[in-house]
Amino acid sequence: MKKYLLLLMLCPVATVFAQVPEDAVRLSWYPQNGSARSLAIGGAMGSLGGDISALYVNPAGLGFYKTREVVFTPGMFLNNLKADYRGTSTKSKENSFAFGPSGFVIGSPDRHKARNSHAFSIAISQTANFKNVVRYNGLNNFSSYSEQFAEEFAKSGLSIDEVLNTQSELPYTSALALQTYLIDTVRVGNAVQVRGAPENILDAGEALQQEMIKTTSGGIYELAIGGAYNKGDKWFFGGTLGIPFMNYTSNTNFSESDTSNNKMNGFSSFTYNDYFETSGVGVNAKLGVIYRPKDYIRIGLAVHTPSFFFLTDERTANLITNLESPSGNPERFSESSNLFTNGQPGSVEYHQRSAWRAILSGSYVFREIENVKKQKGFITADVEYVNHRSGRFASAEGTENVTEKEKNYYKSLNNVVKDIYKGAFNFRLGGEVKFNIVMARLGFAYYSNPYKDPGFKANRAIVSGGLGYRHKGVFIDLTYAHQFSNDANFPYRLEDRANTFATTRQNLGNVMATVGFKF
Amino acid sequence: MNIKILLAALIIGSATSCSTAYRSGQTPDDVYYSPVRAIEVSEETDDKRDRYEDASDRYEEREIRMASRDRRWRDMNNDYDFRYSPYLYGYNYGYYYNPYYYNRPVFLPGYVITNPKNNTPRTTNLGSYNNNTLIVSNIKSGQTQWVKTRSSYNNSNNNSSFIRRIITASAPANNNSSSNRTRTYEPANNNTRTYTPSSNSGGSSSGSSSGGGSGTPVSRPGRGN
Repeated sequence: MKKYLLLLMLCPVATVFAQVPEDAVRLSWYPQNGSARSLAIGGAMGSLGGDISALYVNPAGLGFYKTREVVFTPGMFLNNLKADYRGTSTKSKENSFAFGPSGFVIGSPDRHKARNSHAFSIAISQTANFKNVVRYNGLNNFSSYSEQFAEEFAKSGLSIDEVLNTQSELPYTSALALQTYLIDTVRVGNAVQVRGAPENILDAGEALQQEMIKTTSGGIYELAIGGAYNKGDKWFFGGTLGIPFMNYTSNTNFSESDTSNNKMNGFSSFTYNDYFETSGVGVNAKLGVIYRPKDYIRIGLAVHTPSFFFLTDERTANLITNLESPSGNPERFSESSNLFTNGQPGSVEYHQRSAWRAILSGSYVFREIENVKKQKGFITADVEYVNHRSGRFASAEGTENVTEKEKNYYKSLNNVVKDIYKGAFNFRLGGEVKFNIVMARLGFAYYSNPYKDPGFKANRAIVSGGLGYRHKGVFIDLTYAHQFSNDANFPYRLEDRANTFATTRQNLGNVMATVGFKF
Repeated sequence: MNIKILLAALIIGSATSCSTAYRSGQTPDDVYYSPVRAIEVSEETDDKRDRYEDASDRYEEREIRMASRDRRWRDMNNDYDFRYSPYLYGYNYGYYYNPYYYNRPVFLPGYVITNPKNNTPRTTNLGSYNNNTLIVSNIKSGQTQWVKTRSSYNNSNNNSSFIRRIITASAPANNNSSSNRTRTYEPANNNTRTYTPSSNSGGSSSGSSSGGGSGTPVSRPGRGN
């Protein structure tokens, strides 16, 4: 066991660090996954132990094992989302497969001291699920999606010709908008300003019809290798080395159209499509301890280091703009970002560091005795702190190759992450009653707001319940967890005027089953 | 999906085949209590040890036989100085002395020459995360001011406290001379999106082809009247 711990401590942890602030919170604000048993009790596994989920929460819990088991946890998400955007409500639906910890645990007693033991476990689990569809639409008489391109281009200090070339600095946004005349330069008095064509409608006091459909998929799949040591059934120490594999695909379609009957105002409609895929691998560690001051009581503490990811983005965008010529004739322009990225999707490598977290937990177990018929149940609770503002980004280029502009961007990005997110507490509570070989469970979890701005009401609440069966070396657990979550979704952001966002309410059903075998 | 099903079948199959230990009696629940399994040293274990020792002996014999036929196998026991081995083809003296070495690949199967990728980060205007909002500070005089705030949002189409801009003139007027596509827009507004490129490589121009940067210039399509 000492060898395991030493190995974990010696594991190289590179100083590593996406691209936009929302990427940071995506890697820290998600509910904890686990076996069906763990999910049924709200995910409160910080001090309980004796379940493979301990590998991902508090590895010291593996120390309770003196037996061996192999576990498989398939599941499914049933997602319903309602978005309110400027007074209009829209619903969307998306289901997906999921899986929790699947692997094995081998617990062995010490040959010399009967009350000491050690355990080893390897498992793979989906720790975050990104499958979702956010869809909303509504009238907007205040701002246009195109203004973000106008703002970006004006601030860039670049000329039109500098943006329009096969190695453009703004290939997915301003280059497309300039190429299709969605934005253009306009003379205002003595100054030349950058302006989006839809602004004509807004300035005339009319509204734009906007629609956003964002489809995301993928997840984080973590391979975890962990070990634990039990000293005298009093102290349990454990560590896990996690290798998270991340895959995230985002496909955004945003359209805007003129709601007036005026065919001479220069703008009719546009549709912008932005597709990117982020993939990569990372490394993290989880360390934990559980103290059992007396029979029935367990107190646990665990710390999760950030995950250090090495990521690659591949991106393509398309824009179709329908305009009206000064004489009122329709004009259509269509372009792909590939024109500005050398005929192929643009690609960038970078480092991302997710947030760290700490968990304090307590459990009360009724009847910790060998005779299964006399085991009655348990209650358990976790308090978790996640420092969402600790996410960081950096270029994957070496210090010699990274440009000053890129360095400054990542520095500013990290400052924005610190500025708009905060540390937040999460709570998990659950319990089980046991009737010989059948068990019934209930749980609740609450994940609080990661945003510093009180204007956003974001939170996740999960209620769960499940049944378990354990007999003849086999155990089967079934769980249904229902998540109610509120969040804010910005279709675009502008610097020089008030922003608009949609509020989303998600109802996510999660069905999980764990099948395990003792051997 | 097929891989997931295969993986599931593999895990369940292998688990089922070895889950005989608790077929009878109680199945332990490690959350409550984990019983110690008896450590058995059976005759079977001794047999395994014997079989391992036999295998080691056979490996050693095979190594001696191979060494007698081919000198390269003698290196395994350090009884031959490999630095002078004729089988190393000069690699120990550097590639320069190796007549078979060519300093660039003559043929690499599957190697395709591609254009350099554009590696622009997926950036956003970070200033937009700290809003500068234009609000009416004096309703009587119509005076406005920029306020830096995070909590000012416009989520309604009926919100009079936010103004988009001050319009003092009519709708956009266009200057559509064929040589200059820059349009003239008269309203006096508070737009901060001034076009001030650091280089003097031009303003709006349809059909422009004098590009900047390291890539090849891209022409804008022409517009109708």
